Amino acid sequence: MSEHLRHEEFVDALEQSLAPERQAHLDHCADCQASIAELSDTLQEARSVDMPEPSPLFWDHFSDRVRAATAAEPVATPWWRPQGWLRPVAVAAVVAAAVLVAIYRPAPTPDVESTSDVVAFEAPVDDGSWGLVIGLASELDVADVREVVKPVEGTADSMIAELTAAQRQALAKLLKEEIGEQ
Amino acid sequence: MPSGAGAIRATWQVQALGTERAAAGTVSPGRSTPADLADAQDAALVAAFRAGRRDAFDVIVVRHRRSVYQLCYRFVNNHEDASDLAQDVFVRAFKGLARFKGDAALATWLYRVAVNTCLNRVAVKKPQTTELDAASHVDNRAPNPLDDVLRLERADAVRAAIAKLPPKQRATLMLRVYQECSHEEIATALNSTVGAVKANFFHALGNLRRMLGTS
Repeated sequence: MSEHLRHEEFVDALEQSLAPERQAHLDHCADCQASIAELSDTLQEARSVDMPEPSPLFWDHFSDRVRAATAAEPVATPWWRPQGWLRPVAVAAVVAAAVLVAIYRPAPTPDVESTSDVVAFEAPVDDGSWGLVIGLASELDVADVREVVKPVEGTADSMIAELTAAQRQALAKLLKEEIGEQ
Repeated sequence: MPSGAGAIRATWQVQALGTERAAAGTVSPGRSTPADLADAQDAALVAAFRAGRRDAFDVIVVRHRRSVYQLCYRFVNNHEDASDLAQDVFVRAFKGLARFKGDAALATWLYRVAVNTCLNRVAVKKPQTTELDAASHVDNRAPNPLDDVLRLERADAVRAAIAKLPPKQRATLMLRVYQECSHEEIATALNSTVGAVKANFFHALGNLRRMLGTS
């Protein structure tokens, strides 16, 4: 005769999900059958213990209690989603990162002739920080960016923004001549 | 004709409006009406809650309060403690819903919170196994009052025996017998394995049988 049922198999037998080969053992093993009968009686007894149902009025009262208890709690937002003060900080971080990239962009070496007036953007080495910047930037909307990068009244940015297209072309020409003289 | 700066501003505003309209046009749980939420799947309710809608959590409470209360009641065997515990469960759920990964059913996750809350409570407070309120809910029109008394006494004995089970066996028995969870759901709720759950269930029934046999 094969070995007796293991603990998990007794549970399977109680729930009519015992493997066929083990069921064959159970069908011929008086000890296992007696154990199953005892467990089944105990299970039936446990199932028979009912519990009082609260008044129907209780449930609305309960919901009110939970609502009152959580009223002072902030809604639990996942940590990776900027919220409250973190949002403007994230905007500022993205802008600061962009400024740093512009400032520390490698200058073209004198012995390499540029074939275009447009300086090619060199992607920095991916050290993982760009992932953070990109992640933060993806959470921003247009209003956030506009709020942070808005030109301050009276500054050069603001004045340039007010120029017409012709005036900008003239300014660009003057700047090129100035740079070319140095 | 707008100036250069004006044209830039106009373009900027059109883009901004387009972005806002596009966002409004998407199916955002944060823009649903409460009536919509009442029929929403649990996952949609969780998403709406994470998007800042407190009323989504109200729907979660309405949907799961009965089963959570019943599980708590099985642990403490009295209404006052069970309602306090169930409230604690939902407050913890409110605070922790951001950590809910969605890889299990919300009900299973709530059971997990409930079991932890109940085990923490009963560890510091002796469980009450008899309650006068319970007797008041019994149908006194039973044919034989003596049978009724015996049945009540036996039910009390079973509750007392369950209260004496080791925590994991007790939680397993309650989730399987009274909440009708599958072994897989119990394993998730108790951070265990299906094999361990079945073994705990077997030992819970065996211990119950021994205690009831000597009572």
